[in-house]
Amino acid sequence: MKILAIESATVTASCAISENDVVLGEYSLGHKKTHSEKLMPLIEKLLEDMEIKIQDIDLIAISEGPGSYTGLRIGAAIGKSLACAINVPIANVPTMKALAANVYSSDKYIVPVMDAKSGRVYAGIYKWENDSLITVKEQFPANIEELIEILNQCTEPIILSGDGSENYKNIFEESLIIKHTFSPKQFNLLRASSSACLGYNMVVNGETISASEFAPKYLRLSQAERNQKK
Amino acid sequence: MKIKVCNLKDTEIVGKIIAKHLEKGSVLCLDGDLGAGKTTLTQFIAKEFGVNEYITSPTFTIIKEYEGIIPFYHMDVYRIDSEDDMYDLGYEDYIYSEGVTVIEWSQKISNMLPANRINIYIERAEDENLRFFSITGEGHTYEKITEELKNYENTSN
Repeated sequence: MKILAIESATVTASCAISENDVVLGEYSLGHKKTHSEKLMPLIEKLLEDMEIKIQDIDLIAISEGPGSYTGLRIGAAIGKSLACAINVPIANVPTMKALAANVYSSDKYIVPVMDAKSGRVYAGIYKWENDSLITVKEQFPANIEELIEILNQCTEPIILSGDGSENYKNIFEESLIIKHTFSPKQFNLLRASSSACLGYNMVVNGETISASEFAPKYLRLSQAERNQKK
Repeated sequence: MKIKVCNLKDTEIVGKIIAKHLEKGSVLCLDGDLGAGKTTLTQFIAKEFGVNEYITSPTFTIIKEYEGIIPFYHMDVYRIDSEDDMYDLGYEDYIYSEGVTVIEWSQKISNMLPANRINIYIERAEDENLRFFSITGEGHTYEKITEELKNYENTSN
């Protein structure tokens, strides 16, 4: 099956096409957050250059969030309307899992961390088992102290990735008791190809949803929840 | 610090000083009664960023984006009733961005303002043109602005 993946959760505007879990092509731009202008032409160009018609696509994989509010909405609008138009399902790929999929380790936990600013982050805990990226802890919002507390309870050494691992490197190094390493920067950028491969796994596991069911995941607390926390 | 601003010309000079130190990601909060001059000050600041459009208070649209030397975001959150409303406008994408953000009536969303910011409370006096600017804040931009405004105060008043 052919999968078209869309990535717009952060500064990267990216789209990719895969045949099952084999990536056939990918375009990525990391220039400003002009996804509303750039992403759709990028998809059009990718299809055209790969001589694939949109009708040949069997699944749309979307990086569902968390991330930039506007970015996620643009990705959702494009992905949903394409899926509706060609009548295919959507794989709603957790963005933190897509970020984790950039890094491989046979024995360590992968912990992608996205900087949500003001000392807050989004993170998740994942591990590779054979060919599959397994979710140890679903993506969650936290402040940096809460995250460190959670990570210190991990049972395996961890690899930190994502812009949060760069921006809070000093804090991690000071406060993490658990054995940890940092992934090189080139693995910290989101790419649609990761979502394409994860999207394929979701098909295999029967986890896809319909276009109308898809909504971006901002992972922020509602006002009621925030008030309760205070 | 509190400074005395005697007329429109003074407002322009103060606006210039503030604009000089604002940089990518800076947040400037303006509060004060209706007609205090929040939008007027914003206009002078925007001019320094090469915004040629005429700036009006975005009371209806809440957020307005301008193309300047760097992006210039002007918000008027007077009509905002909850933090959720702000999130639903993509508020965070603006304040943690490559642009400068000016927020009028910022006290309406005081819980969600970033720690690093400059607050100016504009107070009217009996004299129609006279204003007092109370400036507080945190961060190096704030420190640079107050430092230069102190020098300005000493020479002008």
